Amino acid sequence: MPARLPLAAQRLVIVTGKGGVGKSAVTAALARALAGAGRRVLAVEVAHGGLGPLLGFDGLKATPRLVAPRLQAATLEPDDALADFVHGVFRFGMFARRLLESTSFQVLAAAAPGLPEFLVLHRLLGWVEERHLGRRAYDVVLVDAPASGHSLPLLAAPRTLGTFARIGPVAQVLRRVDELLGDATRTLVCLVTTPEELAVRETIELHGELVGRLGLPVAPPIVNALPPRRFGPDDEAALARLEGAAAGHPWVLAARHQVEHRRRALAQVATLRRALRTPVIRLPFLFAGPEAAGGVARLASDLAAAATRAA
Amino acid sequence: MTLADLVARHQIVISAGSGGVGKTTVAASLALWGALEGRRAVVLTIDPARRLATSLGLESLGSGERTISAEVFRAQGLAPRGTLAAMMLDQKGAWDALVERHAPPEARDRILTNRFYQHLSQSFAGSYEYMAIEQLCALAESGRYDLIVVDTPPTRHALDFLEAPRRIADFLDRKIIKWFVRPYFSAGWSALRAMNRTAGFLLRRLEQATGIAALAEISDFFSSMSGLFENFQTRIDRAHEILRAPGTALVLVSSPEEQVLGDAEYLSSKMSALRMPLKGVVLNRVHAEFRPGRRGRDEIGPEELEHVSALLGQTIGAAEAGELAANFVDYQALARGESLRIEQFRGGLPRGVPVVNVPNFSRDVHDLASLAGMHTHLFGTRAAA
Ligand SMILES: Nc1ncnc2c1ncn2[C@@H]1O[C@H](COP(=O)(O)OP(=O)(O)OP(=O)(O)O)[C@@H](O)[C@H]1O
Ligand SMILES: Nc1ncnc2c1ncn2[C@@H]1O[C@H](COP(=O)(O)OP(=O)(O)OP(=O)(O)O)[C@@H](O)[C@H]1O
Ligand SMILES: [Mg+2]
Ligand SMILES: [Mg+2]
Repeated sequence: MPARLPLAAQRLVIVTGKGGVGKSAVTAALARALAGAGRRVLAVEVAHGGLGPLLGFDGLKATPRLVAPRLQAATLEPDDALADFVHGVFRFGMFARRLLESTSFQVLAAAAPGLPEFLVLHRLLGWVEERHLGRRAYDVVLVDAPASGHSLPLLAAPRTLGTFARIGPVAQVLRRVDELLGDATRTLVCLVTTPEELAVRETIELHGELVGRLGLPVAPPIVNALPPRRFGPDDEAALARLEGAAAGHPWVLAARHQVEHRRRALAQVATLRRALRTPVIRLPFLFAGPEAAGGVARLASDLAAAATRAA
Repeated sequence: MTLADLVARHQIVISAGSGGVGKTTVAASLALWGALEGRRAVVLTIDPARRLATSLGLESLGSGERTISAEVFRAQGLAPRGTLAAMMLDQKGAWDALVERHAPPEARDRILTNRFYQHLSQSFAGSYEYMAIEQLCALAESGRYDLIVVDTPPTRHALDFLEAPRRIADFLDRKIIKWFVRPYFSAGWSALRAMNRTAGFLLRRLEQATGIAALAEISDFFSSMSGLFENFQTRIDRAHEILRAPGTALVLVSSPEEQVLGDAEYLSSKMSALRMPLKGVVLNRVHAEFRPGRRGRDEIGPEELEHVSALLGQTIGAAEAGELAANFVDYQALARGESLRIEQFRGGLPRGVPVVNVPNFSRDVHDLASLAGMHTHLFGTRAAA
């Protein structure tokens, strides 16, 4: 049974997973799929995750810009977010500059529990709530989040920082962020993984943390770069039986490689499904990579199918 | 120079690279090679796949060094002339141990229970890297090993690892104490009164305006820790020294994917700037091109199709032969793309740096026998038995 991507009217979609599993490729594909379905999308990469080129646009800036019909994109630098925040607190620019220029303050701000992550979320909340002429600026804000080691602190920030800030303006924003993140009608967290042991293990752990500890709305995991099926079961068996000159022919060697890789990948998919007790969304391995012409579009059409499929 | 020469001539080999490229696997394989060749080798691993950890005798975290027994080797058909030990990095444990070792007894509990410390020791960017280096220093100073292979944490840019000592040094920069400890706690701030008054004022403003009540607690942390900073500085200097010693070799592990190779290129250019030159490169999980079946033929032409159909006659039909051809074409395109990128990457490397390709095996590499199986590709030969 193929999984459904429970995307309806969400305002914030956060894509995360282990490093290098294809978060940026999936974000780009989701952005296209959602824009294609008529929604006005803002795709955001946090700290230069490599999203720009996949949207056909090198050098994203802090200010959103249109990269395709209905699709805007921007990059979010935690350092900029800190500067905005400090400038917002101090009425005199000089004080803010003074604090920001000190290495000690920078390091302290980076080390203060939950603060840098909070600042990122604060920016995202700003975009989600932004309105132009009484109308929402974006239907959905789509985030290419940092790799899971960093995304957990990001998503846990309202709690982490919450223990330090119980009253005051930060506490108020924290509550709004916390509400938004926990609200399944407005937020969806998508976990991306490859069908490989370490990535699958990390996904299972992350899923447990996000659902169990933080109570966030998490979509069925997206297994990216799954080697596609090319041969039927009978052919696979026949290929395995070949001997002599036939077995050494490059076409056969390449086919056996493919069959073996797919078998190994499916075993990981099974592990993932068993651990999370949920079907998964599958995206194919693209031989030419998602950067090649039509690559992102292909992934987008698969995701669009998963998003509209009857539950 | 070959990779074998490189391992033979160095006491410390660091396996660095982007996330998921095979750093941990390559580190284990290099250490195993050393042991087979008669060295007293140890591998310091970080977050290995479970089955690899088990193969190295590392069942649980914080278990210290484990030496792999002769029986275990024999069961895998291996007979090392030296020894192999393995150890897993335990970040939290390492921080606690540092505090226990360096903090004055009366400050110890205060530090260990400080919320900020607990956060810092688990999630401060760079502390993982720093702790790996800290444990490397301890291993190097123990004198128990003549080959130490160090795995590095999964960071997007391996540079984070190399810059860890500097970043930690920044963090512990005495300026921090000046700014944050003294305004709250210390009496001796007269020398920098004007500046500190501003700093203290700004901090209090920030605290009031934001409602973040952590700043006093953080200051408390720094004041409890101040005794530690002096010792840390010596450790950091020592870490720098070890990373730059002539007996230390940095080996870059990369996959042939475009983005990963880009990161690798950036890293190798930065490494010379840090005076930690790159000494070897392992390109892991490479798809080798298949050589054409028969010379002088169009690899996928109708003639070849006929040939294959005949070859496979009874087992596979013509339609399937066509699918075989299509799959082959995709595979070759992937392999060629990789080899072009690899060529270009090699062109940008300093001369004399050995570069080896390790194929993408169709099985996970997690037991000692398969780690030894990598040696043919890493060293062009298996270890002398
Ligand atoms: N479906 C796919 N088929 C083939 N290759 C893919 C696929 N998806 C991603 N890749 C490749 O995998 C690599 C990583 O992809 P991507 O940059 O999207 O990952 P990421 O998770 O965003 O990485 P990072 O953690 O570094 O930001 C890229 O080289 C990309 O070309
Ligand atoms: N040449 C290879 N062929 C096939 N599989 C491999 C190869 N090298 C490594 N692997 C497998 O790839 C996975 C990742 O390898 P490894 O853990 O060494 O990567 P890493 O760079 O240490 O990752 P991380 O950045 O997460 O620490 C493991 O399951 C390992 O068995
Ligand atoms: Mg990315
Ligand atoms: Mg590793």
